[in-house]
Amino acid sequence: MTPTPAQRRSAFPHGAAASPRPSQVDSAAALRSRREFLWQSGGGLGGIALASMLAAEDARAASSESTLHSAIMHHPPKAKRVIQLFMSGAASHLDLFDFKPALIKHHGEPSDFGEHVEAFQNGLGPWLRPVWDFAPYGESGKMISDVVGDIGEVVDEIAFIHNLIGKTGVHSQGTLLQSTGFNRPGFPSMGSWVSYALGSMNENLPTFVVLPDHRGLASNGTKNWDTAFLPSHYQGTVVYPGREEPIADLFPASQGSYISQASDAEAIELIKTLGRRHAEERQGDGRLEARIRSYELAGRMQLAAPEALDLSQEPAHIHRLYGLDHIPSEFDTEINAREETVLFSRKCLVARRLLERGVRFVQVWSGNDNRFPRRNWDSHENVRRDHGPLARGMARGTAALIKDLKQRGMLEDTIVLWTTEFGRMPSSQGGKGRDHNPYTFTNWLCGGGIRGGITHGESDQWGYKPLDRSKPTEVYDIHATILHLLGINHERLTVRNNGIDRRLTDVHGHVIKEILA
Amino acid sequence: MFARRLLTAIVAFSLLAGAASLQAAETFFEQQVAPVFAAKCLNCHNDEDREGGLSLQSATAVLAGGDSGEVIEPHDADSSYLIDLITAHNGQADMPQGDKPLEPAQVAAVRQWIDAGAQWPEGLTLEEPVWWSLKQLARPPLPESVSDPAAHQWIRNAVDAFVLAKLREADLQPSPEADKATLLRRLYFDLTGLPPTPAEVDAFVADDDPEAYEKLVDRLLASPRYGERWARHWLDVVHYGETHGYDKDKPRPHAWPYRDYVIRWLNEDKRYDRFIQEQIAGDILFPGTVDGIEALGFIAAGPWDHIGHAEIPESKIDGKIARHLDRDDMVQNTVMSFMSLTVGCAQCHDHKFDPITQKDYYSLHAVFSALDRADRKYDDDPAITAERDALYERGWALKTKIDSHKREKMRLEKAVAAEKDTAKDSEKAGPAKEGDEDQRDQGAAPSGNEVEVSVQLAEVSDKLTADEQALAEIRKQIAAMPEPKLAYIGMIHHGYGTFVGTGWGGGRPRPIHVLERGSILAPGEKVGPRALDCLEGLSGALDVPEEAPEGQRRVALAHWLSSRENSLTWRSIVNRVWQYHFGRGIVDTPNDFGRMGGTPSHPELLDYLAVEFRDGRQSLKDLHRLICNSATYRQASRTPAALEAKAHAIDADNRLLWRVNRRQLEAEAVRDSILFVSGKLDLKMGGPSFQDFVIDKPEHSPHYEYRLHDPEDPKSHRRSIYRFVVRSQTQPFMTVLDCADPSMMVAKRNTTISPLQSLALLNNKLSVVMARHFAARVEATDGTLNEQVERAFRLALGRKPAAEELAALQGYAERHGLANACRVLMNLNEFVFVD
Repeated sequence: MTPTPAQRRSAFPHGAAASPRPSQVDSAAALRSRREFLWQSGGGLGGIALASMLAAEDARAASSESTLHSAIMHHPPKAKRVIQLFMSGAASHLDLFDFKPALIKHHGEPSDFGEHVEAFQNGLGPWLRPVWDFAPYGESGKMISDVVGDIGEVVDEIAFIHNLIGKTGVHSQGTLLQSTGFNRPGFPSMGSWVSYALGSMNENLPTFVVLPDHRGLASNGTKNWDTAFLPSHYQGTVVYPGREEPIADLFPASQGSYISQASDAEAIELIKTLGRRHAEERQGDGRLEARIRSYELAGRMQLAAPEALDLSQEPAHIHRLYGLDHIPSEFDTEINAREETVLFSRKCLVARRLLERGVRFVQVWSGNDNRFPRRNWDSHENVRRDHGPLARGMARGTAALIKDLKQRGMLEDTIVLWTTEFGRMPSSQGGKGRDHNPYTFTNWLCGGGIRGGITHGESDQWGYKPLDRSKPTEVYDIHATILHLLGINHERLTVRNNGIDRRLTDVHGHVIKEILA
Repeated sequence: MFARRLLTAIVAFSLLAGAASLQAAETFFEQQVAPVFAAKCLNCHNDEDREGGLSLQSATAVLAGGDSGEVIEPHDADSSYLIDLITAHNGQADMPQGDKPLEPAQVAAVRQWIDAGAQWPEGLTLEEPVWWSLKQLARPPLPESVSDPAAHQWIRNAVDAFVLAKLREADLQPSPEADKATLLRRLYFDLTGLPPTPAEVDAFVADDDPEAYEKLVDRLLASPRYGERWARHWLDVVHYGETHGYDKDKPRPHAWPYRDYVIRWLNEDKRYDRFIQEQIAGDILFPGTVDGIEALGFIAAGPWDHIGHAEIPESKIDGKIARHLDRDDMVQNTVMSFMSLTVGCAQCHDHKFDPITQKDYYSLHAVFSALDRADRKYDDDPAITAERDALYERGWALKTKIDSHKREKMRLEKAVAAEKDTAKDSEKAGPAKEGDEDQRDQGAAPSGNEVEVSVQLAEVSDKLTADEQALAEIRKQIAAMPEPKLAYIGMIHHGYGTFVGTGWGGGRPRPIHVLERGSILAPGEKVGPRALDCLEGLSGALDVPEEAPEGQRRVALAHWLSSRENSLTWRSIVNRVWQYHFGRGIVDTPNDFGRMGGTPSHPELLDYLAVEFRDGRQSLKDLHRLICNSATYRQASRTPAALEAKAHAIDADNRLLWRVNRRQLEAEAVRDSILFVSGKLDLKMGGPSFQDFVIDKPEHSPHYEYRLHDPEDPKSHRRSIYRFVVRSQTQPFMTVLDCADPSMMVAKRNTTISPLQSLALLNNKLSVVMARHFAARVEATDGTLNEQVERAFRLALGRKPAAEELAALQGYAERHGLANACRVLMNLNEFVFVD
């Protein structure tokens, strides 16, 4: 099939940089184009007809929500959906959200914590002031850093928590603790728990979607969205907006040149027909019918997913809002704020479209690949150089997402969680960098049932440990609070595995009442 | 030690002679109330633990009440606090905590007892009954109820006698035997993980030898494919993986010898006690054997935190936490795999439900505390291994001496310099006097001290040179030896830099303390090696002297685990094997035989199998034969409608096995079948794993890019057991088909059905490529398209298609080609389900 110009149009109109077009049409390219056609058929040519069909489907799906899955819910929910923004590598609370004037005053003086401190790489140099200036924003007057100034526009929606503590300064353990509530592998992610408890709002799409950083996966890889002992379909489905194949196996692999749309469609019918015959001889086995139905759902997902990922359906003002207008055809090879904005904002916009279509939980990752130069938040060497572009891109996309959710009336039942595996030290490492700080760091939440414009839980004057060391916030509390807003009692959402009734919150966790609206 | 009560006697009391009514009341208590207290309350409310200040062991204790005051108001149940606590509201009751509420009849009995005056037989002390799994093993007699002719006709072996007895108790009967073709396919997948070929189907169906079935079982058990199939089950349990997991997730290129060891052990059908002993202490118990080394891959099977070990020294808190987690993994893997017990809970506190204390848990840490996970050098020829080991021992000893010489030399050099300075200083300090010259001469001469130190320095330097030469010689000898093999195992590590290990300290175990709330910052009492004390008739004492080499600790644990008296060991393994044959264990929680786990559906059968296995040859193949040759196993999965309707009402879950469960194939069986029917499966055994990914950016954090792998690469067409198992980025196709997660101990896989699974089977490059090879294979045979479609059908499903099936597929193949038809075949329910 030779692609027409219309068909060549990518489903991801602003993804030119991420999906380069082959310059000559060889057979592989033709195949790719054919598959691109499949990807486009959601939003491209068949877009209008399909959109109306899916709207009907959505309505049906929404009305039969309760029949899809009997939700585990313990009280009326405030929120229906969650989006978790994960800054991989440990984002510095001190340079973004947690303003410490003492560090400005004592900048350059030898750091003195008043106690023995163990730092991951012994980064206990002189006090290091925040590398960007802070300014007050919003009615709340919250001081945040210039580098995330865009978030200032929505700061009154946000509840900040500056006294979150981790367990170790090891990335893998810290990341798992945030994503699964345990600092060792083998436990379901928060997204899997939420999907398991609440089920799908639209069975044409996965319940839990993950948008990884395009550069690679965070510590622990797919464990951060794994189901562990929960059924495998509660695992996060990975989506790479802008890739040639944004969702693995949604359409036949490129090697399947013998498969056409017609043969594919007829194949599904034949699988169902022969399956029914087989099932009829084996009455009473619900799995057989379920598996036949899964082929039907697979076919529907083939229509629904490309449509959900098609950003060309968004009007110009939305593209502007996210900073996705006037995207240069090429970016610098050096990491830069403009490109980071495009990368992060695109994920935020896709996330919003998915949430809008009934996806329950979306996880968005910022920054990865632990090599040099740093392309993540692990700024041991130079906070300004390595945090700067990531932070600016993240702030733009995040602010746009919150505004966009709000203008659609979705913010009131969508929880936004900004997190990272731990923070960074108030002392310097090698002059310009900061070492790991698992002793206190920042999370923030907004939307669905969260009281905005507040700060709960201060860190001490240096941002080294919680101000009140006897009352830190733990990740269990964050998880308990999110489950609570979703209508779930975190102590009662349990699954027995290897002899233990497992919970997202292990044996801990208190709902943080102070941040509830 | 502080153990929860698990004593054998239930009651020890004397009955008061007295009024008949009193006697009746006491009998009522003994029969109706005491068992409830004993089974449901005593775990926490005993004289020792007294949770909430309350014990229910004796009359005095009960009447004394707890922290909230009296719990029983005799003659007035309504006013008794105990009744409030155990009465369920909306399906929930305060007590028993963390457990299901009591049955209404049980609560009623307690009420009645209180209303009648709460009579407690004088002198009676209740004891908690021993939990079923901790009881000693005894061979149960065969059920008598199944000696009638009808039963006699059905029963093929002891398994059937036990199963039939339970069925009859429930007024059920077994399903008829499955047809031969079904049995053949079932056995092939069950024992080898592959489908039969059409020729094998034809031959078996035509074989009228009355022992054809038993011979088939023997033949399949003798096939090398058997070990490959069943090794995967064990590797699930022990969470074997070939990358470290955690951050960076670096590859473990030498993990595979353990996988090959397990396959070999199964195929050679060696004893099970030896299997345990080799995996815990093979290096000590079976020196000079390859198995004794490779089996220790068990200890190293789980994840390992590279950063916490190799980038943070053990002296730092994070380094200590990493090593604690490392030992925790070894302990849990050992106790869960071999004994089906959960000990992880005792990391922070005494186990809430099982009689395992925090001290027990940390005592197990002490067994493994000298070990790290590392590559061990060894050879096919044990003599060469021994020679190399001896050279290394000498080399390490020399290295230790050299380091000590160097330190001594540095110290002496400083001392010499200091002596010189002192001399110079005194020289400068003194004013010039008469006879200065002489004095100066004397001052310039070395002092007595200086001479002595210089002599020492020379001696040390000589020793250093000699030892360095000796070490160089040893290095030369080592270099001249044949290239060693490497296996990633639990061992004493002689490391450099940050990841040092205990080798340089002579392999002494790290000291282990009970950690308050599991915190490395709160070490309590120091503990030595010991096993668990929860088993009836088996002490946890390991009796290893403090100064004994660390290996003796593992030897002692290995013997304890494999001892005849360790009832859990034998119940655990026969239950696992049963589960893989039937889809569900006799105990449905194969990794937890504790109080939070399930209870056996057929307790006598479980114990019969355990004793039979333990006292026989401890041969897994014998156990397979017993199970597979039973009439129980040969039942159909399709049941006559009348029986099914009745059985559904009584036992919908089929716990009693009134038929055989239809099985959804595991990820490996699906993948291997796809390759097999496509004619592409490479049956090469053993050796390094094939990689179905491309490693991107290996220098720091490897990215395992499955999407970049070429599915046509023949190296990746081997059986799935030889797939390189990555922890952080699991293989997407296998994962969606519910492959075990190598980060956790998987006793029983989830089986799910989802659209993502269907999409993977339809569209994944493996399916798409293999469907084409499948078609090419069939097209290579002569015949019409119709015949080719039929042949493909038989290859995929092991039976001839019905006319309308053939017609539908043929029409489809005519329109879209044979490759598309083959893709359909590999997606059918019948392809992934086995009757």
